[in-house]
Formats: sequence, structure tokens, C-alpha cells
Amino acid sequence: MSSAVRRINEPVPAQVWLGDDGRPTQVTWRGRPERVECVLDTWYVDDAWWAERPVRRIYHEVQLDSGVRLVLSWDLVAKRWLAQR
Amino acid sequence: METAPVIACCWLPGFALRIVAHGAGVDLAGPVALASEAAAHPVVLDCTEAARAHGVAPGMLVSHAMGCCSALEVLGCDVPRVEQAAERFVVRLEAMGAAVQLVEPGRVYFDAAPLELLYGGLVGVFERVLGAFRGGDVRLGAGPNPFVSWVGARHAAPGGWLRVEPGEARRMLARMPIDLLPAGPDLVQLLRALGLATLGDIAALEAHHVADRFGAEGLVLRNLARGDDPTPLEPRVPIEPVSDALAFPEPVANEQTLESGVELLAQRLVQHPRCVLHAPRSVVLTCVLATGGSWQARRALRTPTLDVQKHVLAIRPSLADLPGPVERMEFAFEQFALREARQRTLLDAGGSLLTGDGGDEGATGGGLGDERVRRGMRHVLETVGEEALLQVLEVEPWSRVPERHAVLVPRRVGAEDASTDAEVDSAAVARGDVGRGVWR
Repeated sequence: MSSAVRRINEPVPAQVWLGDDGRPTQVTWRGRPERVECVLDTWYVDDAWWAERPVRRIYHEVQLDSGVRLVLSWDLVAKRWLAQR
Repeated sequence: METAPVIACCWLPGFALRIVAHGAGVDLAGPVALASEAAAHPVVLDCTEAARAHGVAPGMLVSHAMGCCSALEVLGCDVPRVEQAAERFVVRLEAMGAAVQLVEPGRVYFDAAPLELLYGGLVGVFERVLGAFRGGDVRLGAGPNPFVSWVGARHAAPGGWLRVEPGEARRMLARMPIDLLPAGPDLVQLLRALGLATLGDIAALEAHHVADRFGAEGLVLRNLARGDDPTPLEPRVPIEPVSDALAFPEPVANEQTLESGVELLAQRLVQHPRCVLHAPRSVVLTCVLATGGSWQARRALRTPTLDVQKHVLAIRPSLADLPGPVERMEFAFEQFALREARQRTLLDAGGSLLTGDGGDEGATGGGLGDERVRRGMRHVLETVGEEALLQVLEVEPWSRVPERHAVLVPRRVGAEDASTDAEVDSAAVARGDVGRGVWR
């Protein structure tokens, strides 16, 4: 049963600017450009390669100037930036 | 009326070398060099006059420097100690009311004009600043912009000040060597090869000639040589540090003891007034080693938290990297964020209402609003439909893929309510099947 089970916090496409060191410096979040105050963590995931939707992403957990914390990821399969809380 | 800024540059030459040598008890009268941290090919960052007399120079490989001077004493750069000293340098000026921009350890800029009334004129400000660093060989330069004040500080006598009036800047700079310009060694060498030895030579060049040959960088250097530096000051906002320290009666190497020390300090820090509304995003442990050096570990927390155990957990792996016994440890909170307005669990697995206490963990509040919540939930189900009432179910909270942390599942109401019977197949989440009807 239960088609009502829903995913939450799905990543959405985002526009991300990078610094010389390859880390995010600015991101468009909810239609507004916001400066990245600091990168808290960076990690790489290569998972579910057997599945229809493999996950191959480089993640950056960032804190924006506004105090919002986001997880930005570069999707190595789709070649695009994603953002999620 | 707004007064014109008087940019002051407060400079202590050889700052890092002095700090490290002082910590190691080394006399700077002899040939001493400060080496970079690079393990493979360390280079000389700074050296004493006695070392320079033997041909040692900054930028040189340490191995070459040793070849130039067999008596050379090489000190490793103790970065945490230098950073702490640089912070004290800035704090001392901020205590006088100055808004300070730290350029590098031992070199800061501030606008002296707003302090004039406080200390009875600019001379009063300068004397007050130098008085704060008495015996420290600090020099003070003042001018209409950062570059002129920096050149002034370089030419001031030890413990003295030199003020350059706006109208005098170009004339004063004209005789100065081009090494003072913030340009790379290759460019300085090229300028010399072209016969440009002083700032006056560069200032005399036509702008379009400079632009043709050196582009935008050349124009910036020409402006500096003419005493024009439009760079605005960017003073930092003074922040009261949230830190506490613990000195051991005897050096400690035992990890458990050190961990207990961190826990004790963290427990003290969470009582700080700053932690009423804010929580740290990162923690820093700085240790003074029995061998004389210092060591530092800075760790980011996954979420801003006041949970002492999480602070200890973040630092614990680093303790294994300590190079020696510890005499004193300092623990600090950094990068504060508002304590997250995190959504907490409303009902426990048995359907009882949980009331949050505002802390990191919720507490069971008893049955006082249980019935009202249940009634509200039933009302939503009856009026909107079965799929209107959902709850967040943690699936893989440990996952490094954020969308796998939790899913939304239907919430039923009543005594039989045991929402955790909604066992979601975490492999299905990984496959991306959730939302397409796969669960068991």
C-alpha cells in the first residue's frame, strides 16, 4: 500500500559560484544570490551505482551570510549543482 | 563635520620570529631563522640580522641556509602561538577604541582620526598606542591611506612614529626603493632591469605607457608610487572570545585525561551568556606542549549545538595526533549561529505528546495536551483525507546523502497508533523507489 510515502528534502538545481580553491563562494537560494560565509564540511558520495538513479556527488555543507545552512552538491552524473537543506 | 581619515599602520618587524623565539627561549642576537611548516622542503620565512650577515635570506631553502651559516639556529613556525599573539596585538588596540584591520601578524591598520578627541589630538593617540607596546620595538606610521602609512611605519624609528601629511606623500615616496610596492619579485626585477629604481621613477611614467607595458597591475602600482591608494580599511568587528583554559600541574599525555579536560572546559563554556541564544558551529582546542611548542585542532560541528558530548566527540579523534604531553589546554567556541529552531518530535512512538524544553532533547510532558492534539489530528483526517496527516520518519539519519535521512509517511491516530510499524525499506530509499509505492 501507501503511495503516500514521500521523499523530503530532495535536492533542487542551484546556481553556484566557486572560488579559486574550487569551493562555493556564492549561491542562488530561493531566487536570491547569497554569499557563502564558510564551508563547514566537504565529502564525496559514490553510491547506488546499480540503481536507475546512481548518486555520484561532491557535497559541500555551507553556512550562508544570512545564517542559513545548506548542502550544495556537484552531481557528477548530471553535471549540475544541487542544493538542499 | 566629518574629518579626513588618518590611517595609522602599527607594525612590529619580525613579529612571528620574535614570538616563536620568545616561546623557545632563543636569543635573537645570534643567527636565527624561522622555517615554514612544509615537511619536505621548508624555506626560511624570516631571519635575524646576524643570519643575514652570513647570506641567509627569506625564501631560501633551509638546507641552503644551513650551508651559508653552520651556526644557524632554525625554529619551526609555531602557527597557533603566532596567531594567538597576533590576536593579543589587535585586542590591545581595540581596547583603546580603535577599529582595527589585521593585515598580517604584527601589522595592522586603523583610522586614528576618531580617537583624536579621546586622547587629546593625533600625537596623543600615537603616544598612547606606542605606550601600549612599550619595549616591543613597535613602529607607527600615519598617512592619508594604507600604503603611505605602511611606508611611514617602515621608516619610523623603533618605538617611534612618523606622520606623512597628504600633500607630502608623493615627495616622501619619490626617494623610496621599488621593493616597497606590493609586487612579486619577478616584476620588481623587471622594473629594475628597465632602470626604474625608485617609486619616483614609476610615478613619473605616463599612465598609458604603464598600461601598455604592465596592464591594470602596472596602473595600480603607479598610483601607489604617486601616494594614491584607494583601498578602504576593512576593520574587523571585535568579538568577545568564548574560551576557557586549563593548566595541568604536570604535563599530561593520557588521552582520557585530556578528554576529561575538554569536557570540563566545554561544560564551563556552555554557561557563557553568548550561549543563551547562540550555539557554536566549530570548536578549537589549543594545547601548549611540555616541549615548548603548541598544537591546535579546529573541528566543524554538523549542526550548531550546546551538547557537550558532541563537542568532545568532535575533538576526540584529534587527540591521538598530539605530538607530546600537554601543559595547558584552551578550548574555544567559534562561528556562532542562532540556536536552530529545529522542528522537534511532537508525539512519541506510543502517541504521547512530547513537550520540548528548548534544549537539544525533548522531554516527555505527560498527558496534558494529548487529547487535544489527538482530536485535532482526527479532525484533519476526517475533513481533508487520510493522506493529509503525515509524519517525518527517520530512515537513515546517518547517511551522507541528505535526502535519505527521512521520509514522510501517513500518520494514524488512536490507541493502535504505532507509526513505527511503517517500516520503510531503506534500500528502497537508496534506490529512489520511495514515493513510487515500494515499502513493506
